[in-house]
Amino acid sequence: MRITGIAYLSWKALRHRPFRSLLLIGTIALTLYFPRALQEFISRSEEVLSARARSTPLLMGPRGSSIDLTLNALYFTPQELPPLDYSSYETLARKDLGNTIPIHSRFRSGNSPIVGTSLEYFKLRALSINAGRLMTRLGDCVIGARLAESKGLKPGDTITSSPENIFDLAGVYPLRMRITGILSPNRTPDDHAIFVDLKTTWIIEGLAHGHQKLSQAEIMGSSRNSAGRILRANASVVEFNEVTEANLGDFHFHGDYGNYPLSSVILDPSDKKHRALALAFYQDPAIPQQIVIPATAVEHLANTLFATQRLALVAFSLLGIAALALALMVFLLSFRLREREMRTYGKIGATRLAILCLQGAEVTIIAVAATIIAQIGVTLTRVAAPDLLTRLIS
Amino acid sequence: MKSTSSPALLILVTATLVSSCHHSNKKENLSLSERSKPIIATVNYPLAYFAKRLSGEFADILFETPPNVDPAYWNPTDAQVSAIQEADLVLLNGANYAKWTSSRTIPYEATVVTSSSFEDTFIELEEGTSHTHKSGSTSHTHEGFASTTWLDLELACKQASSTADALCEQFPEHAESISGKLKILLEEMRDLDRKMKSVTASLQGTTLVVSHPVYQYWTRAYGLSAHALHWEPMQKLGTPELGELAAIQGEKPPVKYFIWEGPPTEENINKIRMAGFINIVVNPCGARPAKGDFLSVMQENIASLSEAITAGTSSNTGAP
Repeated sequence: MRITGIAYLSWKALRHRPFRSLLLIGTIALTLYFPRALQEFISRSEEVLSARARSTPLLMGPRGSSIDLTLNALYFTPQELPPLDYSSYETLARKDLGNTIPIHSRFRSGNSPIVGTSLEYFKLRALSINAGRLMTRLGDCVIGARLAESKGLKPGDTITSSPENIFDLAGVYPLRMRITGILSPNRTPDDHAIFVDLKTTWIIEGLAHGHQKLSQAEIMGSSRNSAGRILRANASVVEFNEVTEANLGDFHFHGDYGNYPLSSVILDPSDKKHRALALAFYQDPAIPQQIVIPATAVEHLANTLFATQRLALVAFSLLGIAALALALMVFLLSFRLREREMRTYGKIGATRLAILCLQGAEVTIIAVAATIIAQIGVTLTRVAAPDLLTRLIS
Repeated sequence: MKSTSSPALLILVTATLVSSCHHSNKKENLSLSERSKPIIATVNYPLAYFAKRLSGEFADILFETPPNVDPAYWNPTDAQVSAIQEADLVLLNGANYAKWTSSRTIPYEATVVTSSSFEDTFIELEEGTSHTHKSGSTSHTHEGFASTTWLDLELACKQASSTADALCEQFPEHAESISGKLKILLEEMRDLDRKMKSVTASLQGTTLVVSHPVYQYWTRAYGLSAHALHWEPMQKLGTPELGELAAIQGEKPPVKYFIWEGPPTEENINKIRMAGFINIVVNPCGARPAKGDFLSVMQENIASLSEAITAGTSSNTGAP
C-alpha cells in the first residue's frame, strides 16, 4: 500500500467519525495549549512590564507599596496609596535633577483612566498624535487609539468623566471634555487612557471650577454681609460642566496649589549623578515620600508571577498527563472496535505493517492538527498578551 | 499535504503579527519633527527683545501677539497654543501676567518664569474694577499682582539675566556667546536706568495721573506717586472723565502731569492741557512697538519725560 493510499484511508476514517476526531483534536490541543500559553503569557507579560518599567526611570510617590505605586503610574490602576501633594512635585522639580512629569490618575470615564499630566509625558513614552492635536486648554483631552476605536470617537467629540460614587452628590463633578487628538496605537495602557492637562483633573476634583459671574443679574438677590463687601453666592449660580472658549476665563482655582493632589511623579534624571542624588534624597525616613525604581518593583512582581507560574505548570502537567492517557485509551478502544475493518484490509492484501501505518497515520493526523491549533493559540496569546495584561491589571 | 501547508500558514500569520507590532513602535513622535532653529516663545515684547538680543541668530523668537493688543490680556487660538507647545523654551513674565498661561496647556518643563528671583517684591493690587479697552472686547479686571515689572529697569535687568540663565541651560553650546551679549545688554539697560532715575528725580514729591494702572513698578522704582485711571489714549473724554480729573486735582497736591500709555488723540491732548495737565507718553512697551525696539522706546520715554518736565518747570517759573 502506497503512502498516499494510507493517508487517504486515514483521512476518510477520521472524517467518518467527525465528532470523535474533533473531540480528540480539541482535547489534545487544549492539553498542549494551556501550559505553553501560560509560559508565553507570563514571559511576554514580563517583557512588556519590564519594557514599560525601564522607560520610566524613577517614580516618586507617597510611602507605601512600591508595586501599587508603580502599577498606578504605569498601568493607571485604581489609586491605592494616599495622594501626593503638588508641593512635593515642586520640591522635586526645583532640585533640577531631570525632567519631572506629574501623574494624577484618580478619575475615570467608564472603564478608561483619566490621566492628568504634562506634555513631557508624550515625549517620554514617544506617543505620537495620529489625528488632531495635543490638548491646548483646560477641559481638552487626547485619547488612546483603542479607546477611540472601541467607542467610535474622533477629534471634536466629547467624553465625560464618571462620578466616583453616584450617591455622593457633593463629590466629583462630571466634566465634559473636548477630544482634541487621538494617539497612534502603541500597545500599552496608553491606548486605553484619556490624557488631560493636570489642571483639568483638579477641575474634576472640584478644586477649580467655573461659574457665571457673581455680578450677573440672576444672582443679584444673593445676600451681602453687613459691610456689603462679601457677596454670598446662592444655589442659583450656574456652575459650568464643560470648558468652552466663552467660559475659559471664568475657571479659577481655590486654595493653595501646593496642597493640590497628584498620584505620583515620574523623574527622568539628567544623568547617573542626578539619579543617585534623587535616590539618596528620598532615603531619609523623615521625608513622607518615597522614590522607587519601577524596573525593580516590576522585577519583584515578575518573581511572584514566576512562582505562581511554576505552581500552575505542575497542575497543568498532571492534568495534561491525565488528558493524554484518556486520549490514548480512546485510540485503543477505537482500534479495537475497528478490528473487523482491519481484518478486511488484511484480506484484500494489506500487510500488517501497512495496517499499523494506517493506525499510526490517524494518530499522527490528530496529533499534528492538535499541535498546530495549540501553536496558533500560543502565538495569538503572545500577541494578545500586552492588551490582556493591561485589562487584567487595570 | 494539508498538514504541510498548515505550519507554513502558521509561520506567515506569526510573521505578519510580529511585523505589525514592530511597525507600530517605529512611528516617530510628531512633536520632535525637525526644525532649522530652536524656538523661544515669550509672553510679552520685552522678553522677546531680551531673548532675541541674547540668542542672536541661533534661535527664532515666537511672540505672536498682534501689535495693537495688550499681551497681558491676549488670548491665543488653539493653533497658536500648539505652536507654543513646540517651543524649546517658553519665557513667562510671572506676577500673573498673561493669564492665558494658567488655562492653556504649555510645556511646563520648558517654561521659565523670569521674575521668580524677585517674586517677594511683587506689588499686590487692590480690588479691581472690571472694564474693557474697546467696545466689543472682553472685559477684564486688574487684580492679584501688578505685572508690568520691566518698567523698573533694575527688575528688567534681572529678567534679562533670568532669560540668559534659561538660554544657557537650554543651549549650553551657546553659553559663552549669551554671557557676552548679556553683559552688553545689561550695560545698556543700566545706563537707561541711570537716565530714568535722573529725569524722574524732579518728579519725586509730586503726584502723577496715569491713564492706566500699569506703572506700579515704575513709580516704586523711581520714588514717584501716581493716581491711576482706566482710560485709553483713543477714548473720547467726556464730562464724567474730566470731572474725575478735576476731583483728583482737588484732593491731591499740585498735579500737573498726565501720563498716557500711548500717543493720545489731538482732542485728548487739548482736553488734558485745558484741564491744567502736561501730557506725557510713557509707553510700557508690553507689545511690539511699531518702530524701534525696547531700548529705543525706553529712551523715548525718558526724552518725553524730560521734555515735559522742562515744560512744567518753565510754566512754574513763568517762562513761555
